[in-house]
Amino acid sequence: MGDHSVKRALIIAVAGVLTFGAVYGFAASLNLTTDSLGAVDTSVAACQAGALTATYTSSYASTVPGYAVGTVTVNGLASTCYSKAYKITLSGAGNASLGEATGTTPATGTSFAATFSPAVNAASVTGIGVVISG
Amino acid sequence: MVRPRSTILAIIAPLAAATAFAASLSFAPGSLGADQEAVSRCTAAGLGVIQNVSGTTAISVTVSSLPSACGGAALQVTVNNQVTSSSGSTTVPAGGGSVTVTLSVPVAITASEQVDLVLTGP
Repeated sequence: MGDHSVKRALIIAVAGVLTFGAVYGFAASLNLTTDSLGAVDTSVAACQAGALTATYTSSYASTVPGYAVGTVTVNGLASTCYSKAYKITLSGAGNASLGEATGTTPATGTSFAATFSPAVNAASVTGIGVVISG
Repeated sequence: MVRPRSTILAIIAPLAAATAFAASLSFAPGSLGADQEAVSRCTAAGLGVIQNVSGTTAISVTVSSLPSACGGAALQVTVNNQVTSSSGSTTVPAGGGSVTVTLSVPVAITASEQVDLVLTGP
């Protein structure tokens, strides 16, 4: 490598350093502070595509009085939905919530039981909602 | 002599690298699945409900006019005489029709009684 090449490399390096120096110098002169900002775009998928089915266990409650749903059993759970948070809502007229049951799906098996406390008046139930996340 | 192109590249390359590092963000989305469904009834029509008595107690309840859509459903019935209550259950025949549910304990007949029933499934 000759003197000419060494000189050229040095000049290139100095140009890069000077550029950084200028950039940082300008930023400091504005005294700008900023929150961090990062972004990513990704899809949110359900933990399983297979259908879940719900069955109801009702018992007589003199406080209603009448039959009340105390337990909803969800069947068809796939292993991909194991150990995830769930919420089940029983709704009535106008989609108003009548009661909610929350918990964590089991780590084995294909079903789990959600307990409603207090139990929900069975005659008022017109809808059910399920969400599994995690 | 230094070529201008080389100098420009030397300036842009560090800036480009800095920009790429600033934009990178690691994110691991969790799963989220939800659904809302209507809970239907196997019938909206009126059902016949008759208490069967023995002496002064109700021992069973006959439920009639069950449509075939209710076939296979679990039928639970409770008689409450305002003092105590007693229940029984059975499965509705495939074709519907009429079914009698025997109470676990006979209930004394009073002036004010309530009969509740629930059909679950099929």
